[in-house]
Amino acid sequence: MNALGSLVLVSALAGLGFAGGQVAGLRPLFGMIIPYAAFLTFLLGVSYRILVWMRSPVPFRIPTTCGQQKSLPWITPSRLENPSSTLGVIGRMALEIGLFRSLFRNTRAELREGPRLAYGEAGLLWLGALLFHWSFLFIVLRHLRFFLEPVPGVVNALAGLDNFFQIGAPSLYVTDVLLAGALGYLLLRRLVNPQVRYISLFADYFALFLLLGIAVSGILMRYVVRIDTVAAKHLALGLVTFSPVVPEEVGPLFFVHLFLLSVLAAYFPFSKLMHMGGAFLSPTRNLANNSRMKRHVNPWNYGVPVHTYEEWEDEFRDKIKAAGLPLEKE
Amino acid sequence: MAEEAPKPEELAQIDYRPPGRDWREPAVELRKGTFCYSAAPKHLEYLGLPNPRPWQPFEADWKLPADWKQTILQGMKERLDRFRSFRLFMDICVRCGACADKCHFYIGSGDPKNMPVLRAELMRSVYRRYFTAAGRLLGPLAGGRELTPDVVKEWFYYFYQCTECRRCSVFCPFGIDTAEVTMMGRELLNLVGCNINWILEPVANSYRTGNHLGIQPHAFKDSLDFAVDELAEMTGIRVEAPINRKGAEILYVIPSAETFGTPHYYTLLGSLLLFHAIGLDYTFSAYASEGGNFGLFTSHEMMKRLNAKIYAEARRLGVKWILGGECGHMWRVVHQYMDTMNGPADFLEEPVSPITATRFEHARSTKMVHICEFTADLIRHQKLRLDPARNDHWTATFHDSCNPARSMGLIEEPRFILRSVCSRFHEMPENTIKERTFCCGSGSGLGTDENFEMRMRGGFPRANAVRHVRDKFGVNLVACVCAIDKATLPPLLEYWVPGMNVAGVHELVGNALVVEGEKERTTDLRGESLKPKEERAHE
Amino acid sequence: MTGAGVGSAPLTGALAAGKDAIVRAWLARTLEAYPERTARFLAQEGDPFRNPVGQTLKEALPALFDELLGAMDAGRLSTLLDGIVRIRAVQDFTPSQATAFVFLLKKVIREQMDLPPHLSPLPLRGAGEGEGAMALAAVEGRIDEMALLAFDLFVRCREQMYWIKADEARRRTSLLERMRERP
Repeated sequence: MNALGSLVLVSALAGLGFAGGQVAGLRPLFGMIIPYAAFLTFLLGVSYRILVWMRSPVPFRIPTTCGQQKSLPWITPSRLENPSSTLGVIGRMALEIGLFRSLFRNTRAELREGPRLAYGEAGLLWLGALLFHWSFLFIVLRHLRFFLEPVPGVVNALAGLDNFFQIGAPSLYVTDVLLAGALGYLLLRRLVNPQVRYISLFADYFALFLLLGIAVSGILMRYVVRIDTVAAKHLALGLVTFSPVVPEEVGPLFFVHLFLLSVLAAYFPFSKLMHMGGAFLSPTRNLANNSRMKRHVNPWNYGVPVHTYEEWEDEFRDKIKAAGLPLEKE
Repeated sequence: MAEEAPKPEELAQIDYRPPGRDWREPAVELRKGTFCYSAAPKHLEYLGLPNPRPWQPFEADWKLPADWKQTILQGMKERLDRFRSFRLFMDICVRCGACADKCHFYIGSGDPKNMPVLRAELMRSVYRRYFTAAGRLLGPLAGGRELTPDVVKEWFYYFYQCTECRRCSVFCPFGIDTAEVTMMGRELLNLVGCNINWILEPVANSYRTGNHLGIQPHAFKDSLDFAVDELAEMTGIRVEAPINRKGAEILYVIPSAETFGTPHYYTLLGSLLLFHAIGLDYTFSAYASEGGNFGLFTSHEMMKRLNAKIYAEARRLGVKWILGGECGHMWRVVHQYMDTMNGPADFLEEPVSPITATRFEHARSTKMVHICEFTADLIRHQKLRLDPARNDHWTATFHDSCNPARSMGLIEEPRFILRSVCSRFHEMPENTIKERTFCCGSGSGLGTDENFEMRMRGGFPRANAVRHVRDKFGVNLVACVCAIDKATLPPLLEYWVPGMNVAGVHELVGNALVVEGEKERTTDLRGESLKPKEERAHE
Repeated sequence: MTGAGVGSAPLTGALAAGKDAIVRAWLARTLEAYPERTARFLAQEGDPFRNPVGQTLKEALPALFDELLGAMDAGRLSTLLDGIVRIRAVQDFTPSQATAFVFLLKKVIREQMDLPPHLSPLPLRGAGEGEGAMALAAVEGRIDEMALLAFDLFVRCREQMYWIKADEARRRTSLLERMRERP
């Protein structure tokens, strides 16, 4: 139900983008105003969300330790899994963000009764997530060639790396295949695995379908319904130089792509996609396990009622005395 | 329909399939054996907690205060503003399901709401409904859920069915820690008086007398005297067990269970013997006679109220630093909260071992050292004479307690000690120990009688790994460094792996320790006879 | 009944030949007692430490089936059934639900062997239902024995919990007791 609903919604949005590209009067709206509004929403929204997170302090040092602590000099501490220094924390976060270290933990287990689907499943989630995120980053960077003139060498180099295999014409980008495959897997997993299906919300499917919509429209434009890339670049450059134009040559498919992207950008700050920023802030990961070495201050550490020694002694004086234990006041 | 008498197979016609409902319907069946009973009103009154009243979870009316909903929502807002962890963990879960099968309660019960992601969603759905724009506008479509009395009941059921063990947070790609969510959930439940007796009675006792069972100072002394007497009989040595002695170098804080429960008590005997052997200048305190802190399972505020005693007593007695005994959640509090809550401990000195002169630099701010760190250092510097053969009746394995493993990283110290004091030691499978250790199923204040079935479910993954090493290596002893483990592993293992024993690491140290002037040991610290020395040598 | 299997009827041979399919169906039926999303996890996760419940079933059911066709050794049956029942005794099951998995085997056998559900397992005198019914009666009789044993074990587990609880309570304050006992 959730899945179907979000598929319908994303399809409707794609249709809207398509229509927007067909109707002459709407083209400035879909080609300029909406992208600007969406980008603005994205920037303001993400900043706002991060601001809200930052506003809540981290009162206690609560890293989840996944290895040996630094204690006695002859015991080797686990510098990355249980860092006690800032450098270690940077290393731990780099592993988390770059390689999804914790998700990878899923895959290691022993004494299995042979190659089972579940084993592959856990490994696949890590691989699927990793491929999706890295491909997405690659593709975003590659798209910079539409927004920059002249195109920086780095971007060209990336694109060159990406169509390393030189298959077909136009030559196939590896990341396109990987992204579509990974998204398809993540979606299929949500639909097929009963555990994951049970916990999935509307928003989970919506994000996946939206990303798929963007990916599919992009792939179609490159490999199937070739569009006028010069015109597309014209439009993109116009947007970034604040002199927007909507050239006649950009086709409706491009508008689908652009509109879905705008929806994604505008939706991003209000969704779970904010995990992109949140991953950096997680107090169980980004703090050094040095709470006994260094004092950590809680900004709202208010006073609390305590049962003082004097009160305790007053209450039990006779018994303390009878037991022959020392007293403060006789 | 049946013409004859019902045939046996018709028993199977009973509807044994669970109803397939959406998880957002808050419906819990509170079957006895799976939940804990409510806290007696007198404890709430003593501690000044809201809404003291007689009630029980299995009654229909929980007698919530009139403004319960507002109280909870207000409490949520305050905590969202105070804890980045809470706000972040409400926002960033992507429901990838990596945590689903990591929870011992899920593995043992099969109840989908025990998947960590869903346990947190019980709270998140309410968060979305009241604290996000989308949830306020779109409600259920944005994953929001109304806060109703049934949701409160569900929270109670599932947040007192999480042992705050943090295993899921090890596997979460964002480090989302269900323990953090459960802690907030319990704080909110406490605001409307929904708490359990097994937690609040120890809290009230600890607040008043200094320890969980409410042992008063003279009885505390009796216990220690008794231990000294028993040790004298077993070893021929009369050790000192000083209490509230001003001017001692070190304050030793233990989980109070060591003074009245078994097998905890044997750990006490081991440490008393150890301190005598090295001539340690230390004292116990009858005022701060509890290292354990059930405040951790109630609220951050209560944790602070109970923990304050340790520094206060260290200051009053004028000790240089503090040594802490074998206790799991006590070390969560000491390691991650104490200095921040009740520090700075600038009246103490950076801990230095008086025997080896090792500076415990890793504890230079908090000034509290774990007894395993202390003893490992002694053994490393060859300050102890050990006869591991005295532990030859044991084939040991080590159960990492959740808090020392995942909130501290105390992993190699106890293992180093164990390898030094017993000759037969085997690890459980790698994915059930160290940071991936399985909880005993009774932590975080859930180790009571009335939820016994739930505890057996939750502890099954741990027991299952113990059974594996029993069958494979003949292991007959689970060593651990946690008072809750020592209380709850014996019944757990009695049910799943009969014949298994549980001991503290320092009980085994005490067995192996050769103390100057001792008579020949004929028993271990449990009073069970050892084989004569010559026979031992042959094995 | 010792040593020999259940008679020599063709049914026994067919059952032995169909073991894999029967046990698979039996496991699937047994797992239906758990929520859908859990059932798949229990069925598929092969790591015995991550999935002890599923593994216990997967190891015990084939062995129980072997006993059914084999010696029905009381000791082995107890061990195997105990492994399963012990888990179900602490899960959310009524006694009948907890032991129903044994009876499910009857259903599964009839389905897998294409025996009509109305075929009476009782050897009707002169009714001419023949050897098939006799053999089925023998097999189903054995399943009944297993079920009764499972029920005994279930009750024993529940009883055991009571004295474990009592022991636990005593251990909590055992020192106080010992101190009282000493002069």
